[in-house]
This record gives sequence, structure tokens and C-alpha cells, in this order.
Amino acid sequence: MNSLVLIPGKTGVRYWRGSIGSVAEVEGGPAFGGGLCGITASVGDLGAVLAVNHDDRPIDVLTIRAVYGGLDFSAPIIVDDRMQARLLQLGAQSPLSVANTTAVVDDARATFPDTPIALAFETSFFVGLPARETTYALPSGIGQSVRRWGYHGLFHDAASAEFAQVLGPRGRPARILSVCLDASPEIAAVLGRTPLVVTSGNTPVEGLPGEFNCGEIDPAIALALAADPEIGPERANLMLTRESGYFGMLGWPATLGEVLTEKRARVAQAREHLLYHMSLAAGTGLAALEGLDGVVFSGRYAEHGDKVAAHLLPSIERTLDMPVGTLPWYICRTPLEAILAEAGATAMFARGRARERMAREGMEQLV
Amino acid sequence: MRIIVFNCGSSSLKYRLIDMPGEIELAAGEAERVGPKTALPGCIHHTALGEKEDHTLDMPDHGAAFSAVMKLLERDARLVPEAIGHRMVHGGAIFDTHVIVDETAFRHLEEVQDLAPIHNPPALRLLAACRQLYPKLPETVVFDTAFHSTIPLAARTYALPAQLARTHGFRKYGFHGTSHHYVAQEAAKFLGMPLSELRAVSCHLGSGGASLCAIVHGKSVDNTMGYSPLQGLVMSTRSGDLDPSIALGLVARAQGDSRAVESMLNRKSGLLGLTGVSADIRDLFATGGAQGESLARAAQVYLWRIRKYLGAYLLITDRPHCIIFTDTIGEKMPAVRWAVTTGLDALGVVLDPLKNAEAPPLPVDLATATSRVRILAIATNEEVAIARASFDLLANTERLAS
Repeated sequence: MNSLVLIPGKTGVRYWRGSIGSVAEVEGGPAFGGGLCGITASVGDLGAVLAVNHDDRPIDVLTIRAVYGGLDFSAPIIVDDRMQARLLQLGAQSPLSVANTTAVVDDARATFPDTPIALAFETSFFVGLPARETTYALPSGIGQSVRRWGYHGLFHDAASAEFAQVLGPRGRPARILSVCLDASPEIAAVLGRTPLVVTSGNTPVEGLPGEFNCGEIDPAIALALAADPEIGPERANLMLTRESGYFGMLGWPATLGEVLTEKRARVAQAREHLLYHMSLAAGTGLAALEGLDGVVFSGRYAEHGDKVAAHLLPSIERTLDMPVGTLPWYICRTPLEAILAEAGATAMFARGRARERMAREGMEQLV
Repeated sequence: MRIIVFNCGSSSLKYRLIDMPGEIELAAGEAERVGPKTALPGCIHHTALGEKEDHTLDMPDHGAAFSAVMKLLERDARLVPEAIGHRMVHGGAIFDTHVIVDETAFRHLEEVQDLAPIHNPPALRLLAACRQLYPKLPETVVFDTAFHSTIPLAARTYALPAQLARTHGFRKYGFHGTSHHYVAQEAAKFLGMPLSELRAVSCHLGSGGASLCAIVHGKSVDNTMGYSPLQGLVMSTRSGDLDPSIALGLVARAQGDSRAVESMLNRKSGLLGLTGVSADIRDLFATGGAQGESLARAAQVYLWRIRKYLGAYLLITDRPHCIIFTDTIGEKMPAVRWAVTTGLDALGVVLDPLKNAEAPPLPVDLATATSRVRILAIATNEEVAIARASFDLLANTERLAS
């Protein structure tokens, strides 16, 4: 299946143009090695980019990564007017994210008018998170409008499935600690394909510290910053989302990959901080899952999973009374582009199935 | 040495006179309705050497309450205090140990009073009154935060801009340290090991505030509370952990009034916020029927947060010797102990359901014989803990002076 994948970001839209399906069908090598990829300022430019690269094959599905889908979207969808209207209604819950997605969808529909467009949501994986985990202890009226989400659902879902297939137990759902190593890292405890616990909160600001976000802090700190006449709420929000995390601790921007590998003393301190909070999240996962079958790493920096594993696994094994070195762990190297392409194909398949069913039912009615 | 321990509330003054080092309680009581006049007059409920008495009187401030308590004690030469121990909730970054009060310490105490605006100022006013009325009596201050001064850098640091964190003093302080320290000492005694070897997870579950503490080598290495007592577990009226973006969103909704939001998160959230009717977990367990569903959900949120932190601390304490349950809920609610430990067999935690339900006298081990981690219920006694710390401080100073 010929696929175009779009990942909107702060500085532009990352794209990947290639094929998914059997290994033989994938361009440029095995699995997901090939295809055309890059960053474009806007989706409108993409048609020209593809033309320059003499790529005029029809696109079977164009898949866009969306961060927030609320409770409405528990799986990838094919966009039509009805779906887009439903998406717009979510704007009140997550204004920036929904506006961003809608803008990209509009551009994509204008640029590729004859191509089916799929949306795959990071939050879909977390729609079924138990109420005890999603609920904040706030007065009713406030507490019902906000809840905990995870924001790397696409990685967690793919990584958990891959782990279960490769190393999971047979005959029962695997108990997996899914560690997404991305700019805002996230840990989820997953039973089979169902998340029970996740480190992120109502936004990705809560949870593990990231490249720029503070992660878990005392809410009184946010209030103290908001109350400070020289700072105020808006500046406080910027400080916690853009100037904290490793950047805030180190004083210079550092990627998660650098934090996990650099030898400088200050970086080591930030690494220790991150790994400590990962240990806490791992312990929480053990309590939620009542044991553990293994750990899986995914995300942009999944390749550094071995460094995190070296820190986490011995303490998990001791806690579970397992011999050191016996807990299975696995690095899921599937890139987000491939996960999205797969999600788009799934949405197409689901739509095809739905149409078939409708046609069949229509015929049955006629009979 | 007879040490009178004061635990100062915003409108009350609890006290205990303890003979140290034998830890024998000679007198105890509580002055109620301290401060501006209320519909009912102020009252001191006083017990000395087994005799109970109530005294009705106006106590416009904590100094007046202190003066009245001292007069009651001074009627009997056996009850005259030889030292005063004060509980102070927050010592900030200045006080990482308990102190004997002198001019310098008093000045520094004034600097940290705003860190705990509900608890520190009345305690400081009481301290000032004591110094004025009994200048010769040695006074100590025992900080709830001091036990947590050993929390390592990785756990106490927030991932905030370094300069901002330094100038505002944003770091984890931890609270309930006096109680966590006391029950850790008692657990070590119970298990027959030196405190310096103890690894434990202490669960101080009060009917109001609550926190868990991770203890390694008898020292605190983490606490669920943070910069303030708002962070961590779901409490009776406190939200506990909250996405900072939600906190800022609430400030925007309140048109910039962050004080109103702070008040809401501290006084109208937690169990009270979730249920709308009760701030007490005991009510939630007792209630059934039509209202039961929303109350059950609130109870689940409360219990789940404890369980999450319990798992986290079981891992970082590296095969702890014990879990300790203490304070009102921890000591008296078997259903809570069961709910937060059940199913943790893989982590070496197995509660004996029969022992747990029996309500035996404390301290008690509620784990099965095969449980790798012992599960202890221990009655906390913060006043004895303050008396111990005060006695050690004064004895050490005397020893050094001699």
C-alpha cells in the first residue's frame, strides 16, 4: 500500500512517502528502511516536493499524526466532513492540539483532494485507562472536565504488541512496562494492549521530565509562580513547558539521547534525576500490574534503551525476587512513520469492512 | 528531665509533659478555641497524673493559652517543666536539623514562617510568648521537614530552571517527618535491628494529611509531599498530585486569583472534592446504597494513589524489611491496608487477612509468615518523638558544654 505520512511539529511538517506491506514491497530495503522523507514548512508544498522527486504514484492513504482525540476517537479514522466536525468539537478540551490537527487536515484535503486521509491519535490508546487512574481529586465540575491521558499512545501500542509477539507469555495477556524514550519521555504499565497507568497527565507537562517540560512538580510551585508579580500565569506556563526539563537543569538544550549518554558531570546529574523518576514509575507499574513479564523501549531514542535497562532492570528484578539478568526486555525500533502508515492502512481496512457490511445489509434489506 | 511538648494548631494548643528519657507521660491536654472570641468560651481539657479536669477561660492568643497551661502545671512541683519542645511544620532550607532556640535561631524561624502559612506563624507566636514569660527555660524546635533533609539530590530536585529553583527555594522538603522517624525507630525495635539498617516504606495515613516515606538505612530518601504539603497522595481536602497545567488553568479561570486556587486545592479538593459530601475515607467505606457509586469511585482514587506510591517506594528501597502503617487511618482501617497491599505477592508483600481484620493491640505484624516484607501497624506518637529529639539535643549540648 502506497502511503504518505505527516507528522506536524513546531517547526514544520515531517513527511514520509513510501510503501508498507510485505518486506518485498517496501522500497529501499527491508522492513521500513526506504521511502522519501523530510520536513516541509507546509503541507501545501508537499505536492511540489513529490513532483520534484518524480514520485507521481497514487497515494492509497495519507495518514496524519494527531495528538489529541479525546474520548471520541479510540482508533484511527478516515477523515470526512462528519469526522472533521466531531474533531472540531474537541477544540474546547485541547485548543492548541485540535487547531493544529485541523489546520493540517484542511491543508492535506486541499493539496490531495482525491486521497483518503487518515488520522491516528496519540490519546486513543489511553481512552480505556481506568477511572481510578484518570481522575484528579478536584471538586466536581472541575474534576470531570479534566483527566489524565498519555501522549505516546502510538509508540506504546506498537511496542506492547511487538513485545507480546516476540517475548510475551503464551495464553495470557503480557504485563509490560512500556518506556517511550522521546523528547517528553513517558512510561506506561500495559496489560496486554490495555494501559493501567501512565506517567503523563492532563497534558504532557506532568510526568517524567522532558527536554523542555518540568514533569512532576508540586502544584503549589505553579501557583507560587502565577502569584509572583514578576512572573504571572502566562510566563509561568512558558517556564514550565519550554524552559524547564533538561534545558532548565543544564542551562542549554540537550536531547534525551544526549542526557542518556553524555559524560559531563552536570548532564550526569540530569540523567540521575531522570532515571530516578523512571525507577519510581517502574515501581508504580509493578504495583499496578501485580508483577511484570518484561520491559519494552520505543520512541525516537529507543536505541538508548540499553542504558535505561541497565539502570532499571536490576532493581525491578530484586523487587520481584528474580535472578538478575532474567527479566526479558526488548527494543522496539519501529519508527513513528511506520506505525502511522500501519494505522492509516488499518483505518482504510476498517472503512472497507464497514462499507462491505453496509452494502451487505443494504442487499439484505432489499431481499 | 521533664519536657513539655507543644503542638500548635491555628486555634488550639495540644501539650504533653513527658519525663525523659523514660518517656513517661505526666500530664497532657488541649486548649481549645484559642484566639478571637467564639460562641463558646475557650476551654482547657487537662489531665495530670491520671486526674482529669476542664477549665473554662478566654484565651485571646497562644501566649495566653500557654500561660494558663503553665499555671495548671505549676500547682504541683512534680509537674514543673524543665524544657519546652515545639513542633514546627516547615524548617525550609535553613533548618535541616532540630535546634535549641537562641536569638539567631529565632530570627531564622521568622524567615521561614511563610513557607507553612497555616502552621508556622502560630507556632512562632507561641515560641515568642514562651521566651518572654519563661526566658530561662530551654526551648527546642523540632521540624517535620528535618527528617527529610537526607533525601538525595535526584529525588529532591525539580526539573525547573536552576536559577529559578534556587531563588524561590523550589525543592522537595517533605513533611510528617517527626511521625515517619518515630515509627521507623519503633519498627526497628520491633524487628530487632538497628535503625541504621532499616529499609522501610512508612505510610502515615492521617484523617487529614497523609504521606508515604521511603526509608533506607533509617534515613528518609523520599516523601510523597514536596515543596509544600499539597503534593502527593489524595488527602481529605487536598488534591495531592496535579498536572501543573491544570493548576495554571484554574488560575486563569479564577481571573488570576492564585490564592483562591491554592485555597481550593488545599481545602475543597481531595476526598471532599470528589464526593462533595465527606472528607473522611471512613465515611466512604461505611456508606452504601444509591450514593455508594460516586463514593466508591472516590475511595478507589484515594486508594490507587497510595498503591502507586507504595509500588514506587518498594522498588527504590530495594527489598525493604517492612511496610509501616500509622496514624488514624493507617492504624485503624484494615480495609485500607488490605486494599493497598492486596495482589502484591510478586513484590514480596502478603497481608494476613485474618490478622489484619482482628484489630490487635499495636505494634503488630500483619504479614503472613511467608511474606518477604513485614507489614507493621504502629501507633505514631509525635509528642514522644519531639520529646526524644529535644532531650537528645539538650543532652548533647550539655555534654559538649561540660
